[in-house]
Amino acid sequence: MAALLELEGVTHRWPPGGCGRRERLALRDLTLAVAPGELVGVWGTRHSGRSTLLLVAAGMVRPSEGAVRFDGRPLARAPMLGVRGGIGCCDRVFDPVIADTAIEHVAAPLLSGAVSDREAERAAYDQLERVGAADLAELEPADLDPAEALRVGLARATIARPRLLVVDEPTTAVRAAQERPLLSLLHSFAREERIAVLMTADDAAALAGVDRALSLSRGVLRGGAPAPAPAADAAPRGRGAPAGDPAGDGLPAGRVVPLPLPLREGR
Amino acid sequence: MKSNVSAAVLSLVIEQPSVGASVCRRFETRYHGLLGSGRQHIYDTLARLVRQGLLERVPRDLLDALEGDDGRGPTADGYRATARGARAYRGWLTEPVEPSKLSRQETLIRLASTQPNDRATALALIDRYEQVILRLMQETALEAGNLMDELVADERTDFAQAELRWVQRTREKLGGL
Repeated sequence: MAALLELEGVTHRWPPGGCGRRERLALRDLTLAVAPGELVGVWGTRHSGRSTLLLVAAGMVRPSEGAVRFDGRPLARAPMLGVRGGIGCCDRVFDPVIADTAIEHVAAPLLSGAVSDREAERAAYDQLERVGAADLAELEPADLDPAEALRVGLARATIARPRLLVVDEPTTAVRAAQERPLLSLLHSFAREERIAVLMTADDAAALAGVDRALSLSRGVLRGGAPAPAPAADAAPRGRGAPAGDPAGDGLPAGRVVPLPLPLREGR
Repeated sequence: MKSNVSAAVLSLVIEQPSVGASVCRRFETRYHGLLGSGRQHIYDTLARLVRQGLLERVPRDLLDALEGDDGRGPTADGYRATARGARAYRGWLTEPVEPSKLSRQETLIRLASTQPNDRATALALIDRYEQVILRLMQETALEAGNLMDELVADERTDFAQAELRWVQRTREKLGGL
């Protein structure tokens, strides 16, 4: 099966910073292919390069050397972050300039000319429900614990129906009892919705049951067993969808831009 | 090679051609807690390795740096590895390790049997062991069937976490990336 995401010979150097910080080599000649619907876990400690890997995979950082392709197209020429059927990036940072409440943050990526505020809010509520966070809709990010913030972050990252979801350290600062439900949620995106998931973790628990477990150390990626063939009965969301609707969800294709519009209409 | 004790004895002789008593002493020091074997068993192993053509006897006075008294007479022969023995040793060191918690023991025995200046082989062992641990986690079900399954999965996860950190520390000490 053709890879959805391909990193080939990727090396990344962070330039020298202030306070005499020297150039840092974060990724070294890294090659990785992620298939549609595949769940890939990358274990690494601090400074292993794991966050840089996700930034490069999402197209948020252009590598110093090497190629990054999504669906066979170079990410440098065709950015896919936030694009319907593209790449969703989950983090737990919620900019108060964008929105106030959880539901507004989740809806924000949909607020372009093609989707009304009401539709965006409805979709956001559905997505919060999908991740088990509907009751958090009206809370502000500061009121969320780390597990809740991750759920809201996941709802935001998946509202545009991406085909690849990147998640940095999903279980960091999360209580032990909350780890498995969160990881199950990530698994469900891959198993039920055929969204490929690339996650990094410094906790081996995040590797349980993944399709491929990898390790990253000083920017060197060490690979696990090849990805198993996907189940024949599980069609990807976008399969068979019209060209203008790669996510197959009936919503128009194209880049969705977060807008700082408040959402006050009722649901 | 069928037994880890045989491979360990062979590695000690490759590291330093020795008389039996010296092999016994070094075996006890190096493999303490990893391999248990009485002195008679080690002598039997030396004799078997000679019969198999992996070691050969050499007169004691031909060996350099022999230490201590063999306890079998001052003229007891020493042992050194044959070319076939060296090949068998290399083959054993590079054998794949099956993913299970026993693979930790297997890896440590091989690491202890690696010649001190052979960092490349030690790094390769560590890389292979890391793959074993990653596979172990890959094959660990996220959803446990019942409480006991969950407890076992928890223990396996903690084990994997500790081993992955050990792999990383060891790799750094060996000068690998």
